[in-house]
Amino acid sequence: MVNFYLSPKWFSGYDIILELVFAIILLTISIFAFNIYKKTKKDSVKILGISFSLMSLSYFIQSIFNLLMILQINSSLPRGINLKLISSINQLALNSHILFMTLGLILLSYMTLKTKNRKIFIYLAIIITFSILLITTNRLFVFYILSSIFLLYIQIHFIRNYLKFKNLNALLILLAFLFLFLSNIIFTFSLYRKIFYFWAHIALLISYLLILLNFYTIRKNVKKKRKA
Amino acid sequence: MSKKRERLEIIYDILKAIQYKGKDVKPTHILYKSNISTAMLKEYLADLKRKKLIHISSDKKNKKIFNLTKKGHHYLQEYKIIQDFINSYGLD
Repeated sequence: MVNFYLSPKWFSGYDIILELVFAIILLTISIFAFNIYKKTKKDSVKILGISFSLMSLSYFIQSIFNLLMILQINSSLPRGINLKLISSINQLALNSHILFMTLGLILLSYMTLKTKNRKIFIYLAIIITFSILLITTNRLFVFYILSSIFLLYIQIHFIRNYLKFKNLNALLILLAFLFLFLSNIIFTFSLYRKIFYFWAHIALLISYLLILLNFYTIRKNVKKKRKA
Repeated sequence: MSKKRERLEIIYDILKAIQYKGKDVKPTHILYKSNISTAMLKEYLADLKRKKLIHISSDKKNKKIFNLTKKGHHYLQEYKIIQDFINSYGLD
């Protein structure tokens, strides 16, 4: 993911565009959620908005730093200085991405708990985020595994929600988070084989397109009724 | 025990009751459909009138009748979007 060396050469550049697309989709949904929060004052809607904003920020940072790395690799700086710079950018990108994505996923899990006890979120956020960031070896591996556990937990909430409503919108979100979970698992393998980095991005793309489709369907249904 | 209905939901039920009946709706119909007390309904209807979501007039017998305004129709559509979004993510 953030680590440039995980990407197959033929895919580098495309991943940056995809990450920007993910960031824009998440930002759109979070702005929409904040608008709904203004009208309903529902805490769970605000939490969804904040968690999607954090996830969006993690993708923005990731794409910008990945772009910087590509530019640096192609720059005419002496090799020693250049490698040092690339390594620093890579570390900064990795840590920022892990920090914002982890906080976003913890908030989403907190939302599914349906509790008003904020201490639970604060403890979870501090313990998990710092444990990942303080790990020096296999940090990315630990991040993917922990994210997968969170996504699996979140998935249970969306399965229950689908069984409650059994409609297209709930199904789209259930499938979206299933692909998000799968992408995390695939990313774990990308640490060993580069091709999985590509497939993980495809799973992410499917996931975010499903979230966008849900958003489109909700708005389209009402527009149809207005015309009728 | 059923969860206490929120304000937005009660407003939706009142407006939906008026929309369902179509035109010149009597307060008894709204009361029956919205499932709230008479006193509460009076408060809500006054509030909805202030917000220009409904139009109140009188029939031939000089009894109050209610109609949805454009803003009222728009509210119902917006509520549907909000509810669909909340339900799709299980945010209730």
